[in-house]
This record gives sequence, C-alpha cells and structure tokens, in this order.
Amino acid sequence: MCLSTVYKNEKVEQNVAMRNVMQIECKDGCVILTDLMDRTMAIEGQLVSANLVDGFVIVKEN
Amino acid sequence: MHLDHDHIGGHGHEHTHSHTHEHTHDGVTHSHSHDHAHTHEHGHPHDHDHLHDHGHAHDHSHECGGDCGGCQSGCVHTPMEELLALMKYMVGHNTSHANELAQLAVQFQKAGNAMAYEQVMAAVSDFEKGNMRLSAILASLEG
Repeated sequence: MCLSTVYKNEKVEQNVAMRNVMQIECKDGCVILTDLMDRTMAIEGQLVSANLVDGFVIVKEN
Repeated sequence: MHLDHDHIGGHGHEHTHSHTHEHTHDGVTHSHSHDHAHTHEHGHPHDHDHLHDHGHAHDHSHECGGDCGGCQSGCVHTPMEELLALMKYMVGHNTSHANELAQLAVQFQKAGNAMAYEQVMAAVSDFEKGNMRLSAILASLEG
C-alpha cells in the first residue's frame, strides 16, 4: 500500500538501494525493485525482511 | 545475471567484481560501473573494469540509490517530474487512507460506538480537506 525504501544488508542511510519502491519481485536469484518513476533495479541476493508499517525493506546482497 | 561474458581460462568460482558496461533505460543509453557477485570461468581471481556486450536486457543497481538529484546519467525524469509524481501518488494514497478510515468509522458505528464513529468521521473530513489542498497545489503545479 505504501511506498518503501529498500536497503542493502542493513538499514543505514548509506545502504539505501532505492527509495519510493512500489513493486518488489524475486526472480532468478535477484530482487527486482521498481520505483514510482518505473525505474527498475535488480539486486543479486535475497529478500530478508519487509516492514510494511514503517515502509522499509532489507535485501541481502550476494 | 551476467554469465555470458568471456574470460580466458580454466576454473569457475563465485566472486564479486566491478565492471562497467553500456545499457539503456528510460530511452537513454549510458554506462557506469557496478559490483555484483557471479560465477564464471576464468584464469585467475581479479578485480577489473571492462566493457562488454550483454546478450540480454537487464536492470541493475544504481549507486545513486535511486536519488536522481546528483545523477549525471541522463535519466529522462527531471527532479520536478519526480516531485509531481510523488505528490500525485500521495494524493491518491491519502484518498485511499481516508476511505479506509471511513470504513473503520462504520465499524465503530456497527459496534454501537456512535461517538467514535463521529470523531473518526470528523477526522476523515479534516484529512480530506488537507488532501484537497494538496490536490489543488498539484493541479497548479501541473498546469
């Protein structure tokens, strides 16, 4: 429902992978993010957690 | 993702390296380097920067973290376009939340708590007023 900020490995500012993420898809060992502007980014790794209340997601990068 | 580039040599293992390659997104072609892990055949472990052609389209991590403010990559969206898109999203999102709150209020009413219903509906009304103001700002910015 809400947009999220995706972090790599740890929720610290310097690890922000993408902001305003509206869609996340896990495919072929990648976590594929799409932001509000329809930009996409693939991070090779796994989805670790998604906090849908506070709007942040952690992805473990390989 | 990047298993289709060539290296000379004989053994395979997984490692991380950085490389640069050209790609196109949002109608703009540019190149920049990124890091990722993959497995491929090569003669020795190393870090390198190189250009290569991919046989498939893909997307990958931007070091800018999705913040286009200082990006030199030539993305087609201006910062103002991004702000407007975010505003538009927020206005729609607030409308959804207002509707959800109104439904919540009805649940209070059904539960027999008229005061909670009225108070939540009053809050919804205030919320909608604020959202209408945002909507008006958005319309003026888009106009």
